[in-house]
Parts: sequence; structure tokens; C-alpha cells
Amino acid sequence: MLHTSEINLATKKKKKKLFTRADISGWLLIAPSFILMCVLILRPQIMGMVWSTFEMKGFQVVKFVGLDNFKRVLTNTDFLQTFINTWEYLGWSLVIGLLPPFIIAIVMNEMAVFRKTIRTLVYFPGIMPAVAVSVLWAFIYQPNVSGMLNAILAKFGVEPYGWLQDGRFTILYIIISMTWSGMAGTAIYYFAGLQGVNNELYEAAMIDGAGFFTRLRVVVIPYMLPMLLVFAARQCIGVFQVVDQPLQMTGGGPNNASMSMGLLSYNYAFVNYRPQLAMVVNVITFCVIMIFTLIYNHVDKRASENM
Amino acid sequence: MKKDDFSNRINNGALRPMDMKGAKGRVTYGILSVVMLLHLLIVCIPVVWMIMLCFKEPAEIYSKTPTFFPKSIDLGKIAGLWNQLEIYRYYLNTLIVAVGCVIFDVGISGLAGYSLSRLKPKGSRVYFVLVSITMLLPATTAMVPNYMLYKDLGLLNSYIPLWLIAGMNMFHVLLFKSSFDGLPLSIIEAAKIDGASDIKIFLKIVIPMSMPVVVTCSIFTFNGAFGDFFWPYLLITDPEKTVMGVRLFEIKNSNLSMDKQMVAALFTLLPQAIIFILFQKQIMGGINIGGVKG
Amino acid sequence: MKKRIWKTVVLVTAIILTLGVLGGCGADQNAENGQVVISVANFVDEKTNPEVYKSQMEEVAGFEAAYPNVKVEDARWDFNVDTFLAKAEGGTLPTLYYVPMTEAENIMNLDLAADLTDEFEKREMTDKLSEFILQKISKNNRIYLMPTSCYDVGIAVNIDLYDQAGFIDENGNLYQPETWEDLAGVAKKIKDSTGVDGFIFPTTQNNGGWRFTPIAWSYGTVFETQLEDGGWQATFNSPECVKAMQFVSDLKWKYDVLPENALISGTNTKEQFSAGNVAMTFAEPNYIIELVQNYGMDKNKIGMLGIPAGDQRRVSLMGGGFYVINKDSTPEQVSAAMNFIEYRGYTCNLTEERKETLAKDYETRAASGELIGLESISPWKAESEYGVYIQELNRENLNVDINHIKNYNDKTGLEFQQEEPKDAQALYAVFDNVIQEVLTNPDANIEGLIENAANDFQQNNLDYAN
Repeated sequence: MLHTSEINLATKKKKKKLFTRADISGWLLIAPSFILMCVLILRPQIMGMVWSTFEMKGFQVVKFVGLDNFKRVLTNTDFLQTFINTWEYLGWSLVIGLLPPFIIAIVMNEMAVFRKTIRTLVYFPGIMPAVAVSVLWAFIYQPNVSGMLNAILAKFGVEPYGWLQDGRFTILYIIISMTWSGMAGTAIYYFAGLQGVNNELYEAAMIDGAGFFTRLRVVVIPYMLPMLLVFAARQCIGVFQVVDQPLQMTGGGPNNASMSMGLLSYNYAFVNYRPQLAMVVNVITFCVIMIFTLIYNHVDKRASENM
Repeated sequence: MKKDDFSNRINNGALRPMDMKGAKGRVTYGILSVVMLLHLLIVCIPVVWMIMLCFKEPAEIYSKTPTFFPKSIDLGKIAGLWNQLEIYRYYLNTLIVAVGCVIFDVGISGLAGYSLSRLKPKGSRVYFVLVSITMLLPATTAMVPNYMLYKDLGLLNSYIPLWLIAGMNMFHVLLFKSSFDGLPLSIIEAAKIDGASDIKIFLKIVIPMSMPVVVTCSIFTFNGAFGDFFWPYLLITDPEKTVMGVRLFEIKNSNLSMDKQMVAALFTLLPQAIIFILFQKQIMGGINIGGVKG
Repeated sequence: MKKRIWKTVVLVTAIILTLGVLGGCGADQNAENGQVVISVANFVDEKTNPEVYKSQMEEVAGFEAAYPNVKVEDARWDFNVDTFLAKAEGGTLPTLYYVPMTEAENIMNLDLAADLTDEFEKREMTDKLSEFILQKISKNNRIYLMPTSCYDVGIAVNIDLYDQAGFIDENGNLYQPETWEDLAGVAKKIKDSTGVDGFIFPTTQNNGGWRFTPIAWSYGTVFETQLEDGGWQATFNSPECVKAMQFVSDLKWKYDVLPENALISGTNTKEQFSAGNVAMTFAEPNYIIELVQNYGMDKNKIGMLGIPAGDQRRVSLMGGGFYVINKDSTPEQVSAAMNFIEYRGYTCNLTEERKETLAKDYETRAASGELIGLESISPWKAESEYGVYIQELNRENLNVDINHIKNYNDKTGLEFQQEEPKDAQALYAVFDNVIQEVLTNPDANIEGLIENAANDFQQNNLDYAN
């Protein structure tokens, strides 16, 4: 960090031009990504935000209606529950989904034998096609005795349980299945990151008398923290926009217990052909995530320093 | 003697060979092994079960009293489907898409991440903030306007949009940035003093040293592209250019029974598994080795 | 050594990318001189269903021979929710594609269908359309959709289980439950004597509400009523609807004939029924085709019954499919597409040639293992030449025991009703929720749930309908 700031200072002192040559070459490298971002992400988003205030026929603008679309979405009797559900998704994913991939990556890294095999197996759920995964979990959560989990319960003499049908915990079970297939990739990312830790640091900590967990705390966690934060943020955002899993596993049921903002938006756009209402949901989702991010950035000064 | 060999191999992480001399270290390693084993079971049992599905008859799959093993294992069924579906024809197309996606991803996101991490041109903060914001945006309705754009640009039935989509992976930009942030500066400084250009530094020093992140991102992009169905399905209607993901979707909607669909799904993940196994070494390569060998 | 590997990798990559780009440039806009090209959706997949594909391509070849200036392209697309809007907005929908009846309203509202009124007049088909279909395919007195087939909902039964429970007499006749309570009793007896669940119906993704509507109608429910000012009122918060829902609840808590799973998708239903895990379910002819072809069910093990009656009416839900001709088509393309539909035998106009095509179609379907013999209602008036001929074909090609399906084919005393006119999908969604609640909670307050459902549907949907 120190070095870079010195370089920056040095270049600043040299020339007082608006853009130095270094700036230009820096921007040239950013340009392709920047252009794609503007055209493929920002452009449709801005269009969408505008659309959320229009009456539309498919994706053709009909007339400006101000906040009518917002009123329609917000007064929908399912909206509040959907909004709360979405936070529930987030909550469970923080409880269930955040640490396991990191822990598994660390454990993988400690293993002395079969490292290759272990790595391949851990990663395997990550390449399972979504079709196969949804069939798989439908079987696992099958509420009658033939379901995998209920079959195990039966071995202990426990009555079969409804799993996804238990509206109180439907979201939890969906998150568990998401974690099963999602953590494979994340664990491999973390594992790759762990390879960057210099082994001498462990040795040094050891000489200081640090045990295994202390070594993890003083060496691994500080090194991995930036990566963890990026993944955590991405996971939160991803979960906040979850569509596919409730769509495939429960259709949002029972009685809307697993309806998410993402699924609501999907239904508005593709089932009811009302993209303007879908955009309203997206705008609301975006605002929530935005507020969330601002708070997060405020609290975590490290993140803002890295900017 | 043998025990010592084993102890010496425990040198990959926080546990050091020294630890294995004490009971505490051994117990820790034992516990970790058990955790690993449990996790592997959780991962493998469903996967193996899925493979077993391929050999079952449809009625066996939906039976009220499912068995783990199929009644009979008929490899001929798999070979027959391989020939009937002519999967190999779609492998090449998918390979073209996937390799292109990797190049666009690493090229575009990698360069941008490098610039953000090392060059920090004036105003790049704006870009960084935008990258962070775009990661927050729900994508549901972006699809239709983008499709219309590709159409207006005459990019239907071409792989270029798929590559462009792979190139705008904002998450990978951040990932590359944080990885480059962690590189030892001294080597780069030295090269700069020797008069190497930014591009040269990037290609000759930064990329080799960042192989783990490059390979990891590549593999994920590759796999994403290999299984991707939605955009190829929308964009590519020419049967000669169909890719695996779309093929799998078509097969799912065809009159093939569930067991055969599972076989088709296995064909989709086969190349991904192979690629992953082949490139394991690069993921393992590690920054240290790269740094020493420079 | 290492360098050489990298060089090879780079070289191979370069070649692959070039191939890809060149492939992308070779766009297939082959401009035929004077030729009308129509792209047609919904052909089957060549690799997984080679026989049917072959016969479809033979039909295309025959058509192209009969109309040399027309070229038919396989659009390799079926209607699906995810990609439909993008294709519609991008103007890349095929010239001719099939949509389920449920989408008819949307397609016309979005102005995606070409005006077919003149084509209908020219071919003298307008008068032969049955009244309800004409209503469904027209807007402001213009016709926009081409009906292909209709279906009405019946009850599918597993012949083995039905037999074991003693519902097939010595002459092979299947017992036809007259009322819903009667059906519940049958289901109960099946469960008691075979241990297998008696009845199953889907409850998610709007399927629950959809399957519930005919039950509700039969108890006298009116879901939507148009007001004098043109607005709409939800009118199902009525004792009739509560009664119908009480029946659904009874299936679970009084008769206990439903599977333990109360969140069942359409796919689950087919899986469970085809595997013999349940004895009865709602079905229509296309559904049976799927059970046989995708789920490997033996066609001789499937029976079809008529739908039972409620205390007010005996009514079945009718649905079907339409061909849509793309709004952006030239008049020549519209005409060519209509000719193609006619050639394939989907219009009411029959020439000897078309009769042959149809007959051959039946042969192919029978050869591919499909169950032939189920008779649905026709979009054309029953006395039309087409209706008569199709009935004839059905009887000639019958390939199962007629006793298994004759109860379904007998439509005497049966009323037909189409789905509700306004926001039917949203209505189904509301009822999915009620059904899920009723099936997971034995003490559910049905009256209250229906009352809330009506209020929600009014506030969320009908207030915006006109």
C-alpha cells in the first residue's frame, strides 16, 4: 500500500496535467470493461427505472403514469410478506451459507493426502446442471417416507416430516440446498486464495507459541478477509435477488411462504407481461441493497479505504 | 519412519510437521479429517445417487420405495444415447463458446482489475464505485433490452454476445483487483526501473504470478459457459451452432424419459469435470512458487 | 517444453476463436428470389424423436412440393415463458407458432398476432367455428388466432389399482363416480384396499387454482362478474366456493386420500401417477401422451373417466391451443402459413389429400406408442366434416381397450366452460395459496381464507381490469 501511494505522489508531483500518460494507459485497460458495463448493465437499468413510471404494453412505452405502478405494487396484499421473506432468505444465508465454504477450504488445505481427489469431489456439486440439482433436492426433501431425509429419520423411529411444506422453515431448507451446490465453487475460490499464504508466517506464529486456531486467527483470517468480504457481499446480494430456487422448488409456496422479491419480479415480467411492475420491484430491491451497502461501507472502514 | 514421512506432508496449511509430534496436533488433524470425510459424504451420496438414476427405469426412479442401487446396470444404454444424441457434435460448439468466454473474461476483467489495483488512473474511483453498484442491480428486466441491442447490432446467431456477457463479469474485476493488491510490489518496482512497459509487466510478471486466480476465474467462466442455457437459447437458432446447455434443455423438453435425461446431464458435466481435473495443478501452483521462480 | 505447451494452447485458442467469429459472420440471410419463407415452431427434436421428426419433415416436403414458392424453416423453438417476451420485442418470433389457450388474451393484448379475419372468410371457416372458440380468438370482431385442438378435463385412473379395489366389473367396464363425494369414496376404497393414495392434483405454479376451477364451478361458484361500468368484481367469496374448498379439505382430512406432500408441481403429479404411486388424477388427452412418452407409463394401464358433478352442475374445463401467425409477417407469409396449417389438416376444410395427411399422422402417432382413441371436443362445430372425420380416425386407430376410455369419450350431460376471462393466472395463484393452506392445516378457516382471497384478488388484480 505504502509503495503505491508513493508512486501516486511521485506522478502527481511530476506533472499537473489533467490526465497523465499513465492515467490514459490505465483508462485504456479499463475501457473495454467500462463500455460493456455501461451498455449491458447500466443502460437497461436506467431504461428500466424510467419504465417503472410508465404504463407499458410489453416493452413498448404507452404513457407516463407517475407513481401509479409503485402504488400498485406496494398495495399488493402479498408485497409485505414477500419483502419480509426476502430478509429471511438473507438472514438464513448469513447463518448457513457464509462460513461453511471457508471452513471447508481451510480443512481441505490442511489435508496431507488425497488432496487432488478431495478437491475434485468438493467441487463436483458446482458443475452439476441446475436440472439435476433440483431433481436431487426434490428427492431429498420428499415429504413422505420415500424422501432421503425422512428415510433417515425413519431409521431413528421419527415420523416423516413435511420439509419444504413447513411454511415456517421453507426458506431455511431452500437456503440449505443452495448452500450445498453454491459452496462448492466458493470453497474452491477460498482454497485458491489460501495458497497465497506464506507458510513461513505459520512457522513464525508457531515460534510465538500460537496453537492451530490462533494461527488461523492471526495468519489466515487477516489474509483472507478482503476476499471473504467480497464474497459475503456478493452472497448477500445474490440471495437478496434469489429467483431460480424458489421457482423450481416451491413456486413460492406454501401460501407465499417462500416468495422472494426476485420471484415476484420474474412473475410480473414473464408470467403477467407487466415489465413496468417488475421494474418497480427491482427499483425497490435496488434501493434496499443500496442503503444496506452504504451502512456496510460506513461501518467497515477497511472496505472504503480499499477504494 | 513411516510416521515421520506422513508428518512431513502436513505442511500445506496452519498445521506444521512439528505439530504432529504432539498429541494435540494429531487430534486436531484427526478432527479435521473427520470433518472432511463428513463433508465428502454429504457431497458424494447425492451425486452417486444421481449417477445411479441413469441406470434405473422411470418407474424405479419415482417408486415409493426407492432403492439406492438400480436393478441392473446397463452401460449399453449410455453408449446408445451417446450415439443417438450425437453429443460430440455439440461439444465443439460449446468449446468455442467457452474458450471465447474465458478469454474475454480474463482479458477484460483482468486488465480492468489490474488497472484498478496498480495503475489507479485519475477517476478510476468512479469506475470502481460503478462496478460495486452494478453488482447490486437485479437483472430480471435487463434481458429484453439487451436482446434487442444484440439484434440491432446483427449479432443474432453469433457467439459474440455470449463472449461479451462473459467479459462484463464485475465480480471477477473485483476478484482480480484484490488478487493483484496482494502481489509483492518489489518485483514490479524492479521491472519498472528496468523500463518495462505496463503491458509487459502485466503479461510477464503479473499474470504468471496470479496464475491461481486466473485459472480459478477461467474454470468458473468455462463451466458457466458450458452449462449456460438461457442466452444461447435466445440468441442462437441455427442448429449448426447449438451448444450443450441448449441441447440439454431441448432434451429435457423432449420425450426422453427421466433416466435418459440424467445421462444427457452427465454428458454435459463430463468435460467440465475433465477440465477441472486437468487444471488442478495450476490452482495449486500458488503465488509463492510463481514469486520465487519469477 | 512448458513454453511449447503454452504456444499450442495459444494457437488452438486462436483457431477456435477465428472459427467462432467466422461462424458468427456467416449469417443465414439467404435472399430467395420471389420465394416466401416461413419459419415454423414446434417441430419435435430430431435426435430424441426421430420417427415423428421424419414424418413431420415429410409433411413439410409434401407441402413445399404443393406450394413451390414457399419454403418452410424449422424455427427450433417452442413457446416458453422465459424467452417469449424477448423474442416478441426483438421481432424474432417465428412466423407460425403454437401457444396454449391460456396465453390467448395476452397475445392479442400485446398485438403480436396477425389479423386472420380475411383468411378465415376466404376459406369459409368462420361459420364453422364453434361459438366459444370464436369468442376466444377474436377481439373487436376481428379474428387473430387459429384454433388447432381443444381438450376437456377428465379423470385419469390407474387401471391396475382400480381393478384391485374392485371398480372394474366382469365385463371390463370402469365405474364412473357421479359426484365429487362419490369420487372421494372411490379414492378411499382404493387406499384402504391397496394402500396407495387415491387421488393427486398439483398445488403449485398456479396449477392448484387451475385444477380447482371446475370443482368450484360444479358447486355453483361464479368467480368474476362484470359490473355495469365495465369494471370487474370478484364474486367467489360465496358459500358455493367455500363448499368446493371444503371438499378439497375433506379429501385430505376426512377421506385422507391425498399424498402427504401438499406442495406438488405439475411434474410431480405426472411422476407420481405414472409410477403407480397414486390411483387417480386430473388429465386431458395431451397429458396422457406425456405420461406414456416421457414417463414410460404403459398405455394399457391408463383409464379415462368423465369429470364428476358437484351439487349444481357437471362441468369440465375446456382448453386447447392456438396457432399464432406473427404480426410482422407479410400478407404472402400469412397466406402461406395458413396454407401450411391447412395442409397439416388443422382447419375444418378437408380435401382427400388432407384426409390422407391426417390419417398418416395418426399412424405415426400410433407407431410412436401414443394412446389413440380419446375424444375431445373440437374447435369446429361437431357436425362439421372435420369433426366427423377426426372421430372416425380415432375409432379406426384405437389401440387400447375401449372400456378404459369410453367414460371420458361420452360427453352426455357435460357442460364446458373456459377459464375465467380476467387475470386467470393470478386467480389461480390466489387459489394455490388457499389450497396449500387448507391441505397443510386441518383447522384452516376456509370461509376466512376465501374471503381474504377474494379481497386480495380484487385489490391486486380486478381493480385494474377493464
